[in-house]
Amino acid sequence: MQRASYLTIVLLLAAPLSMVLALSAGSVDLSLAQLGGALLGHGDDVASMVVRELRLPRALAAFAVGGLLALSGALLQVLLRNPLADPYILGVSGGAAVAALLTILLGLGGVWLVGGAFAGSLLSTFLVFSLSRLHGAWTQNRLLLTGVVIAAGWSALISFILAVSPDSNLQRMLFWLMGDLSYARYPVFGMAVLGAGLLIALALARPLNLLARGDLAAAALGENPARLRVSIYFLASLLTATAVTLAGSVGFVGLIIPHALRLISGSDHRRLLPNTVLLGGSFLVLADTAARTAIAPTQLPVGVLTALLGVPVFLFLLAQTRSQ
Amino acid sequence: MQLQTHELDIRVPGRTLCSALNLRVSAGENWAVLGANGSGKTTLLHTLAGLRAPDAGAVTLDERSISEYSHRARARYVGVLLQDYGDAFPSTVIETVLSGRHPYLSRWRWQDDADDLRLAEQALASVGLENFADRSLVTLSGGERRRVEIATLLTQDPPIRLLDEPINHLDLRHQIEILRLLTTGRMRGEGFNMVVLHDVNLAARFCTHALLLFGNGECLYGKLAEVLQAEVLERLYGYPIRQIEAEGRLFYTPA
Repeated sequence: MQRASYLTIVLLLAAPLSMVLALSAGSVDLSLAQLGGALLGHGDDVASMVVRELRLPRALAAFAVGGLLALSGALLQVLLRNPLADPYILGVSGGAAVAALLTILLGLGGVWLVGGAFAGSLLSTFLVFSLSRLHGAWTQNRLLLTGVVIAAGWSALISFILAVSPDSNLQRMLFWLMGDLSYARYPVFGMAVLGAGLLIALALARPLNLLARGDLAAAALGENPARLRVSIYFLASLLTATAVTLAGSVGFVGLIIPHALRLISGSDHRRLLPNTVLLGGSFLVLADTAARTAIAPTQLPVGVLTALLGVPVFLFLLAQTRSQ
Repeated sequence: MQLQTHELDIRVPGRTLCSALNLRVSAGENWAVLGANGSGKTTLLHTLAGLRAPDAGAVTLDERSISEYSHRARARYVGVLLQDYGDAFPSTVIETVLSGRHPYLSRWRWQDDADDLRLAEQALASVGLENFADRSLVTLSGGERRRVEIATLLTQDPPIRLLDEPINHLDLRHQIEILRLLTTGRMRGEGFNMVVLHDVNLAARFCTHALLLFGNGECLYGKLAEVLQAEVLERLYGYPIRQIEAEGRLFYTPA
C-alpha cells in the first residue's frame, strides 16, 4: 500500500521528464532554454515551430494513447479475470483496423480515417456485447470467447484487405497496424478521454477490487456485479477505441504495464489505476521518442519499440518477484 | 432482526431442491444447515442472502422483501461467507479484510480510516492472524486463508451471518475456536447465524436450530433437539449412523 503511493510520486515526476525528453530530442536537438522559449512562445522560429506544431502534439498523443491502453488493459484484466487480457482481446482494435484500412484503400485520409477507425471500434464493441448476451447469462467466458472469435474475423478481413491493396498503400497500412504516432492528431481529445476515463475508473476502483474476487463476493459486499461489468466493458472499449483511433494498434503497453505494476506494488486498484495511466503514458512517450530518433532519419512505428523495450524490462521484473 | 421465507421454492434445472419452505429465523438463534452433497445448501444460502432470486415465493428481512433492499443496504444487514473465493490477482491480507467495510464507505472514500483499520486488526486478532496483515494471500495455507475470509466477514460486521462451510480447511482447534467465536461472540444488533456444516456433532454442540435438506424438495427444520435424530440423519445422508452417548451428550458416527 505504502509502496504504491511512493510509486505514484515517482511516476508523477517521471511523466513531465519523459515529455521534456520527447520535446528536446529529434532531428533538431534543443537545449532546455530553447525548449522553454519555444513553449512560452518567444523562442527562435524554427525551434518554436518544431516544438509547438510537431513534437508537443505528438508527445501529448503518445502520453494519451499509452495511458488509455494501459488503463483499458487493467480494467479488462479484472472484467475477464484473465491475466492475458489486453485492450485488443475483444476485437475493438480489429473493427477499427478494418475500417481504417478501408479508408486508406479508398484513398481517403485525415478525418475519414480517424472517424472510420472510431466507428469501426464502436461497431465491434456493440457487436461483441450483443452476441455475447444472446442467450442467458453474461459470463466472462462467453464474453471472452465471443470477443476472441470476432477479433479473429476482423483479422481475416485485415489480411484480405492487405492482399488486395496496391503496393503504394501497404506501408501506410502496415504502420497503422503496428501502431504509429506520426499521423496522430487530436491529442487534446485523447487527453480529455483519458482524464474522464481515469475519473470514472477511480470511482469504480473499490468495486474492482471486489470483482477480482468473483461476482458473488462483490454482490455479497453490496455491489451489483452485472451492472459493474457492463460499465467496465463499455469504459474499457471506449478507452481502447480512442487510443486506436489516435495511433493504430500499438501493442504491448496495455498488457504489460498493468502487470508490471501489479508485480511491483500490488493490486489495490485505487493505487494501481492512476499509476497505470502515468506509467503507460510515460512509457509510450519514451518509446515514441526512441522510434523517432533511434535510426533517424528513418522513423519506426512505435509499436516495434514498445515490445523491444518492454519485453526485457518485464522479464526482469518477473524474475525479481519470483526470487522474493 | 428476522429473516423469513414464504412458500419458498428453489429449483435448479431438472430438480426441486426445496419446496414451499416457510422458515422463520429470529435474533439470537444459531441455525445449522445440513444435507448431503448437492442437496442445495449453498443455493438456499445464496437465495436467503438475496444473491439469487427465489424460483417461487419470497424471502423477507424484517417483513420487507430482500429484493427491495439496495445492494449496499443489504450488505450492511446480511453478510455471507462464500464457500470459495476467486483470486484473479494477489492482494494482501489486510487489503482483503478491509474490503469488509465496503458497504459502509462512500464511492470516493480513498483512505481506509483509523476506525476501519482498527476493526480489521481486531478481526484478524480474533481469528488468530494478528501478524499476517501484510502477507500476500497466495502465501497462506488453505486454513489461514479461510480465517482471513472469516475476518473479512467480522469486519463487515452484519447482524445476519450466512456461513457456507466456515470450518472448511480448518484444523481441529480452529474449528472449535471459530465456531465458538461465531456462535457465542459479540454480535451486532439483534443478529443470528446460519451455518452450513458437514459435522453433525459440531452442529449439535454449537447450534440451537437445524434445517435439513434432503435434496428432493423435502426440508425438515426446527429446534435442534427435535430434528437431530439418528434415523433422520440416516435418511439425510443415505448411510447408517450410530448414536453414542458420552459425557451426557449424544454423538453421531457413521457405522
